Amino acid sequence: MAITFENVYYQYKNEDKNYSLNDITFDLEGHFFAGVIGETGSGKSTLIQHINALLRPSKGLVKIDDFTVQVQNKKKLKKIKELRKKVGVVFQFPEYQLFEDTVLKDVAFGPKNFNVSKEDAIKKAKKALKMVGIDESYYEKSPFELSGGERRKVAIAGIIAIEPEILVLDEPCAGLDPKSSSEMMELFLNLYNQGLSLIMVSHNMDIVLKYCTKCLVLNRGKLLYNLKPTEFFYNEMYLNTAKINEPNLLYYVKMALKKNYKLDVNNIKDISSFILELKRCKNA
Amino acid sequence: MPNVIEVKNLSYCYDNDEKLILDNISFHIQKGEYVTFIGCNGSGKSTLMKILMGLIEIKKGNIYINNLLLNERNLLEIRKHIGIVFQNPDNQFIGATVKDDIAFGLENMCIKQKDMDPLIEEYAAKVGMIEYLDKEPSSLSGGQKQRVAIADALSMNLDIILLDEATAMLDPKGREEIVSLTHKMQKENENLTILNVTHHMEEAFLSDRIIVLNKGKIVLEGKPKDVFAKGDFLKSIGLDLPFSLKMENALKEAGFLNLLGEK
Repeated sequence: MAITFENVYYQYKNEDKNYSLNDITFDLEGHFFAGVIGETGSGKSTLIQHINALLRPSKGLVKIDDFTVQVQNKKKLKKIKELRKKVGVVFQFPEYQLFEDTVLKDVAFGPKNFNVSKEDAIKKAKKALKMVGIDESYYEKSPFELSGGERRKVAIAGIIAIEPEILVLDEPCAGLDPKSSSEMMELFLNLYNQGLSLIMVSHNMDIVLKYCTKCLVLNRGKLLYNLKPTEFFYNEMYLNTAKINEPNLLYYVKMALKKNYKLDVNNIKDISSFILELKRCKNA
Repeated sequence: MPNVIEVKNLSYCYDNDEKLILDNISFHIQKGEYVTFIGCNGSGKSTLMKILMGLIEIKKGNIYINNLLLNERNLLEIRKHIGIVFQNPDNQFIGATVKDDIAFGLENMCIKQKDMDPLIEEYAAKVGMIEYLDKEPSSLSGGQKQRVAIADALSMNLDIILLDEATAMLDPKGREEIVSLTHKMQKENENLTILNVTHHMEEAFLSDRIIVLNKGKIVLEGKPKDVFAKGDFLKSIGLDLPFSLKMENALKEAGFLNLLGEK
């Protein structure tokens, strides 16, 4: 899997001066779980909508493997369906998009759209539901009977059932209770471990630090950094430049450094890895 | 302090459903309190807020708001005291500009046109939106829209404000704005009571009191530090501790006491 942005600009129609994306260039290669972070209005959602050609650049180009998304013009993109099979996008509050009368039908709707037989679509739907932790007793329920967290899982299963190679997530944990939220992140980690690549927009910096292998940092439409989360978050100058609130974890890491623990911050991604690193220093 | 809200033996279920969304709950809220309701998705928090607002009719139990029984006859009087800010900033912005949006509430209260402008300015200033009076909603951030919703409530002289996950769709900055604004308002006005529903344990930690709902029942209530002392129980019902407490517990357990408690 390779995603390349080459000098991508994007302008929403009515704006004359402001580019929502302003000369974005980066590569993501191989197997990754990338976090896209930045203030509200920094261009995060605009950027991810380019990955499955929902938006097309005003200037520049986007490549997803051998598929190229060029500048907007009247020419219809070829093979767009193939691209959309490859790139599954889960929007914010995806549960609002559920519409079928049963959970199983709703999840099978995705694969059916990609010329999969009804039988196979149901098979894929069952597999996807299992992956998100929704068991058989839910198959015939109406999506509207479920709790918010359950509906979110069903909506995500609908995208997983298409069997994309890359999953794009826009704030997947917004509005979920703490337990559903951590279950959701474990699910994504699991998908990552099974070979899927993921791109996730998030405002929760502790989550990005813990789960992501890369982070793309945006500010006013510009890409400031494309780094490993530990490289970005443990550099105060980077955080200030990007106007990113530091993860909660950092307060404690900084305190430990002040107290002369010789921590290797590259190993610190969450509370438990922090404790391990503290122990290592103490024993050294 | 007198009670502004009294809920007695309230039960609620949706039509044709046997499952109780709220199961025989009773509680009081005192005037001037900042109370946060926490509970996992589907625990009944939002339903409770809608009931308190008189948006859903109750079938069992009694609710008194400022000593008035909540029923159809008293609803108009009660609505002069209680207002709600919902989750989605876009669903509650009615005016074409910030000014119009605040004016809408004032019009409903039959305030004369000539008296309106100073009031609009006063309340816009209170929520830090005075410089945005002529802005359209599309040019505002989610946090700014929610601040306008709070100005609407204040301008109508409401003394009880319900925040139904009002920060859920905001970025960290927007959330901080709303949380600190609501606490500031509550400190400045001793008659203002705030009920907050949230999934953010850090937000809950700042309130005077926490009420924990699970499967439609109140399972725990008290001061934040007492509620969060029951970490294992909270986890068992889908909740969690604020990050700082999780960290402190982990540090304590591993014996790094020198890294504790400077926050």
